[in-house]
Amino acid sequence: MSKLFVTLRSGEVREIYGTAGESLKQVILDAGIEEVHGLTNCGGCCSCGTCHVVLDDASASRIPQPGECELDLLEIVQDRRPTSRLACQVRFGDELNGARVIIGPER
Amino acid sequence: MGSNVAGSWDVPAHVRPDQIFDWDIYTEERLRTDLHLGWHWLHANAPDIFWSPRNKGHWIATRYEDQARILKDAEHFSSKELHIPPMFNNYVMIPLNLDPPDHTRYRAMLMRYLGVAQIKAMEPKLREWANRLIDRVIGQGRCDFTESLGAGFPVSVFMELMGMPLDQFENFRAIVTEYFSHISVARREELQRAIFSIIDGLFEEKRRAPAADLASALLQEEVRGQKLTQAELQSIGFLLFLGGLDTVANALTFAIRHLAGDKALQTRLRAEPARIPDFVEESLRRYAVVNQTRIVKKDVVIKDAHFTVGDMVLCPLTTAGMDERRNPEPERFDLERKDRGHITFSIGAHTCLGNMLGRMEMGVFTEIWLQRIPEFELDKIETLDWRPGLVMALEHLPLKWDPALTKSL
Repeated sequence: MSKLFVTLRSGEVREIYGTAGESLKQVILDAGIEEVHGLTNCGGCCSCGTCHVVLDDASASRIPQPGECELDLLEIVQDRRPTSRLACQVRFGDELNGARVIIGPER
Repeated sequence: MGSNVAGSWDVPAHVRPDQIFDWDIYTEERLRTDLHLGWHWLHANAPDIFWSPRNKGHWIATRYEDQARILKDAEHFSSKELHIPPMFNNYVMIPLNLDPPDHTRYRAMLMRYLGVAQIKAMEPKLREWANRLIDRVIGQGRCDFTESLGAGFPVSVFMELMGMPLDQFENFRAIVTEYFSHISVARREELQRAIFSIIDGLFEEKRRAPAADLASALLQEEVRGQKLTQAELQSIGFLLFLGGLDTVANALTFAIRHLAGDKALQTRLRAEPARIPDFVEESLRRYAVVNQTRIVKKDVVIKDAHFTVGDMVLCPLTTAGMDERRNPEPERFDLERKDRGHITFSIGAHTCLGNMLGRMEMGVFTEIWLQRIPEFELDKIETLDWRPGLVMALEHLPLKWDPALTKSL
């Protein structure tokens, strides 16, 4: 089990735990944080852009960089940062232990 | 019909006899009696995934979990062919007929214009049009909702969004209404040409005189550093037309038809307009519109069904919302429903681009309708004219109310 610190849109920070191998979005959803995706979302297929999150710099650099489809969608998210990701496209694992993740603004 | 018959069908070898169930998605009597209950009937009477020998043969998956799996799986299930029976007409609607990754770049470009902030900015226009259309019928005390409002409202929204000249409303609405009604293939092709020429003319006009609208914006857009070609613009324009008109018209008509039969809910929503978003959501769940199709592009087995390259697959989205394993007591219309689950806007790569706009159209219209129209009910209740198919409709919805109790603006 690895640990994550998730900052909600309200500013509240939650400490959550996840299992390696799942997507980051699934880990956050499993912790009961529904705002990580839109009311209607594509179900983790890299198509709706509603699971935008911003990672801390160190964690972002430790994981594989976004692919072609994710980059297409990152272009349209609100307030994109250099470490913006779509949570459905990030595989959760030990290298994200202790990572800080901010839920992006609603798109 | 509606039976498990291993009869004299020409069925592919990979379909087992016990997987065959006779169900014609266009003419089935149960669907003509009540679309949504008709589809829901299958949950108790047919396998979760079965093969219908009608319409050149195709799979039907009726459970939420199986539909979600199929629609999220672009590796095995493609959108290159979306007709049942298949048409193979090679006309590619962008991005509807594309699979990822080609699909994603066009989709992302269009999503810029259909996000929360952009949709919110359109709300005043939507209110104006809802009022304008209601003005036309309010004093009569009755109307065919489908014709005069359900179909007209999304047309006005589409015209505003694209920046079409609003004096063309009647002309355009007539084309739209006919296009989506029961007409011959030849007539539909004729109307499709008319629609293409309207779309081409619109882009032509916006090239000359750009304005603050989607058509003008698309002319400036680039996908991977390239401006959109005329064919791409036409294709995108036609997709917005197909995706944004008939679907919203039917979803709205289904919702208002429910309200017509539930006066307590009318009263409640008038008193508590803040619950209208929940009403919209429950209506979307209970009365879905679209039956999604896919063509198998790589063999895969789900629940013993051997999906084989070239097979057509139908996911009637209403059976996802009506799946009692996902939503207990699915027939009940419940504003308070906990953990409501529906994929009425589909799921996966092709999740409806306009879902926020569609929801807002339904919410805004319902709110204004309830403010201005007093208690209303079905007029002349004989049988309702349901239209089965890939986009399901209620062709007429006669309503009546007391014109003396209406509110003018």
